[in-house]
Amino acid sequence: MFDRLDDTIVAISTPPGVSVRGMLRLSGPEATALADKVFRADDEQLLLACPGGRRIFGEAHIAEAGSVPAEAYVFRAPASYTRQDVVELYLPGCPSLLAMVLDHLHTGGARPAEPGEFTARAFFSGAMDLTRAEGVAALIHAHNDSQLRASEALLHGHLSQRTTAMRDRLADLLALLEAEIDFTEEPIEFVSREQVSETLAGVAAELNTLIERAPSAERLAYLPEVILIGRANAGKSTLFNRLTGMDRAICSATEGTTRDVLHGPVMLPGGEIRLMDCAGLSSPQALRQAAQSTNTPTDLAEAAARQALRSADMILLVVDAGDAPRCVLDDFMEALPARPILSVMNKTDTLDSCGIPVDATDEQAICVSALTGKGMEDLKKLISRRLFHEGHVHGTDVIALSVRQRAALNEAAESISRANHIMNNTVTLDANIELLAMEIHQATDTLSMLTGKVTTEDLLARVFAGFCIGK
Amino acid sequence: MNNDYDIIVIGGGHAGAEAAWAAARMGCRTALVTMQIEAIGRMSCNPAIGGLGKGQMVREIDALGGLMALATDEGGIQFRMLNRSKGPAVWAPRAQADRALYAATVQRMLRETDHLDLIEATAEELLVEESTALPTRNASEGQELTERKTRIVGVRLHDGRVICCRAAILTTGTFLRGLMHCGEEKIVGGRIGEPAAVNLSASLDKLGFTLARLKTGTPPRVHRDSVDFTHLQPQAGDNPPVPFSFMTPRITQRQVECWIAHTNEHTHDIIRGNLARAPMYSGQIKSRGPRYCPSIEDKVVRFADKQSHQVFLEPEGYDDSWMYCNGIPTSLPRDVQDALVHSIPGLEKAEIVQYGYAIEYDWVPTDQISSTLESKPVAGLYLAGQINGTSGYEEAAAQGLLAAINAVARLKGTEPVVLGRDQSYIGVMIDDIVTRPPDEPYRMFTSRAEYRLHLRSDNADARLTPIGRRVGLVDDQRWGQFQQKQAAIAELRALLRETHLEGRSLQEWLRRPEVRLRDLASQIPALNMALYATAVSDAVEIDARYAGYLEREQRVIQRYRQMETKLIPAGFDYAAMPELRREAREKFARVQPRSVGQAARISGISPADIATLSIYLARHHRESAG
Repeated sequence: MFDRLDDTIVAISTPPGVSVRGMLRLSGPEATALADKVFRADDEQLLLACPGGRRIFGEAHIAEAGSVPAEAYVFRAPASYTRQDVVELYLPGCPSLLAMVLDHLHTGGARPAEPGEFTARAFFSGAMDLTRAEGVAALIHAHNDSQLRASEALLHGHLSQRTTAMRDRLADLLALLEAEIDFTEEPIEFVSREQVSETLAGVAAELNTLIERAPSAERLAYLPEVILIGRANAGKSTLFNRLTGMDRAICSATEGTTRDVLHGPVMLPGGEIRLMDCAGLSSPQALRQAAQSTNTPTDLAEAAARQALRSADMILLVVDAGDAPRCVLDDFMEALPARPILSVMNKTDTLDSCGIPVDATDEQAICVSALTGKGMEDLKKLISRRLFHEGHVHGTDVIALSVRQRAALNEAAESISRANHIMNNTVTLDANIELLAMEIHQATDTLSMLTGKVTTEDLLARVFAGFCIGK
Repeated sequence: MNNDYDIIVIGGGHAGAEAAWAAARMGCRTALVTMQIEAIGRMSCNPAIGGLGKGQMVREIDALGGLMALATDEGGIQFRMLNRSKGPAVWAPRAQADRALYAATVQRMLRETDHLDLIEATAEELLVEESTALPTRNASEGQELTERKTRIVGVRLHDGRVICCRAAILTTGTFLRGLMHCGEEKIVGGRIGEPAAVNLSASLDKLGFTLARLKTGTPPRVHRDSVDFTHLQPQAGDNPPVPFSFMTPRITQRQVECWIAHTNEHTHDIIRGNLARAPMYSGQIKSRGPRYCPSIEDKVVRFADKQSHQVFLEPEGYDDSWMYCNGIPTSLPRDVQDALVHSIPGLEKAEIVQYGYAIEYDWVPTDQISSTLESKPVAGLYLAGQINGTSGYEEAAAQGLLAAINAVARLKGTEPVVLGRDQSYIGVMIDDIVTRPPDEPYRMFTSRAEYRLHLRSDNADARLTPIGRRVGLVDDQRWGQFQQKQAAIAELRALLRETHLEGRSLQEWLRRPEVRLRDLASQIPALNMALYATAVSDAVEIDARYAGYLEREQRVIQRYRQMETKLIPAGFDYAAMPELRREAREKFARVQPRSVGQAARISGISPADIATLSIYLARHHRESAG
């Protein structure tokens, strides 16, 4: 850890979950140059050319997601937290957005920061004195600071089990290859070509599964998202306010008042969710367009709504109970993307009795009145049950990967693929065994960054335990 | 006999011989004190030099200007390049040696060395001076340090004579309180027929050293005329044999064969039936032996399902009637050894001329030496070889050489030589033993080297000869030849870059493992390979073949170097770092790592400990700068 202080590191530096603004911090010689890859200032000046101590307004550009308003703070060495060039990018607090920008910066050449690394740089550069450093050693020991989610420890447990298993398979194989090299005079075939190929194929498959299936930690660590959909005036904003207990949406009787995506946390029996309410998705036509269109939207509110719909974990379809709900429901259902859907019959207070043939225990639909609060607790329970118990979000075998972990797994996969390439291009195992060993060594070392180190002594112990060595 | 030297080397084994040769050749008045001059350079165990990792190390010794490779080229009777079927990075030279010829060669070389006296005596006591606080310069920090209080000033011999010195190199091998076991019989001695060094242990103890015990073993030797070779499978050496030394143009002496025999179930039954009489199993021996060189009783017990083990019969010389039975080291009683040897086809009538035995000896756990091999308790006292917990002639010789280089550097007030893990197997070994004191005799393997593609037997000269030249070990002849070779390599490399075939440079063609330089050259008349020595074309070809991999390894090496160059000042006060875990604090204080990189390799040290250490180092540098 911290073996380099001269490259450029990046991390999301705001706590996870719902927040109004999210911040990405870059530190190192390439900080401004890298930030320029995702940030465009309103006055088009490059951050690279920007003196320190400035706040610059502009937009963050991400290929798939278009652009969002952003601010950049530029600090020049040594007048910064780390005494290196530092850029802080402030973006809307949408975790998936932050994760995308982080990914872009990483691809651009920034290294995902180790936990505590910004602070460590601050110390190494002398930006802090030791009285302030009191807690730092402890902080580093804890392997934890604001950049590292508390939940990561838990999520990491799963990952570490699986990477440890892979690392061990590779270390076993490596030990045998090393034995082929070092104990060449022993009349023993330590490992066959087939065994090597088999192990490599097995580990490659496991690595790919992990990489492909795992959502990013940035995605998992934030809250499940539940989106409100329905015709204008179905009472979505009132429901939003009622559920969140906040008065964030401007509730109005005028159709189409809600223009932006609003979001707020809701505490449910099974955990916290993030409730979203957005305009522009008030008709089945609009929904179809949002779900299918690949055009870049011209309207920011529309783009945000589209993104919200795509990332939602569950949809609440809000219908005015007095509004011939059945056909409205059917209309909408067809247009919605494949997500768990819960129909909410709102405004039941305006009816004498709930005239719709919906059973209260039905898992698919529920009658409420957002205005009076009737049915709110049942609604919360139902959402909670559907979301948390059916495992749509936090399934047990889901492993979240931070950018750092993902980078390590990718790197290991590359080493394994190169090892496979060597195997496919040589006739005998011997011919390129030292190169094969080098690749597997690298893969093992890379995985060791996520688990624990494998030393030469460990490798030798594996050989001595399994084979009779001693010409 | 003179009684005042710059450097005294105690012990005439492979570490001692190398140390004495090097110290004297670097211009220091040197004495080699040994119990028996005619035993200098003797091979106590198998009559062979080299092997995986070890062969590379012998090439390194040679590149630095040492003697082992030269002596092997004179005394070798069967040369083989191991791992020829694998890539050149793991090729390793090995040679069977004529024991008598090898020892005689070493003795002759030492006798012919100026400034070197051979003294036949037993060293009884190390004499030290408690301090006039002679300041020693810490080259890395450029500071004067005065905390060393005890320094070596001489050696008292068994007859009471005292010889003075300014530095000493202790290479005791298996002689330090050596105790041999053969069945129930226990004999005090350092080698069959040779006495042990007993009082020296007491002297070390008095000086504050902690001693511990290790164990090793050797197999029986049989008389050549009593072996029935018709049942044995011959094993020949390479033709032509490849020399060890960069200075030897070719091996001209006659080459001999080794023979392979096999144990069988009957052999194993005999061993199993007599385990109670084996000192390793009866509890008579408590110390730890090497796992890579287990006794035959160990093999039979631990690998019970294996029905046969190989036994290599290695001739101990051209005219020597002894044959070494490689593969069956044992400390079983003599009658059992007779029975087990006779159960092996081909050895039914074999006469055992020397029985196998195990030997326990004292060593100095290596957290008591620094990376220069200088002991921490006594300034100017250097330790090399088995006293540092290693096994093997090559490991010992390499340490002897480095101990001498650093002892001389100390006397001359020049920068010590600490070889990096990216520079040499020797560097890997010394770093390994000082950061993690071994719990079994330490032997080199290629797998211990992280940067194996760089540390090859073919390029040891390119890696180390300039260092040997700088310290004064490489003479004009070697230096001239080295420079010529490097110039030829550069020339050929440039030629390969500039010459194209089918739109691609020859350099690029060589990246393909199946493409050979001489085949390419045969298609290009302008490229006259006759102009280049094989060593030159090999070096160029191997580097070209590995080019992409070497670049990648180089990037890893860069990261390693960054950590190695973060030096920790001597005497850094770990007690004043409350944030360090207690275990880390104690280990840092004991090992006294040279650099942050080395600190990180100490066993049980976590990345968090290193981060904490780095914080304090940063403060230290800031304070000393401001």
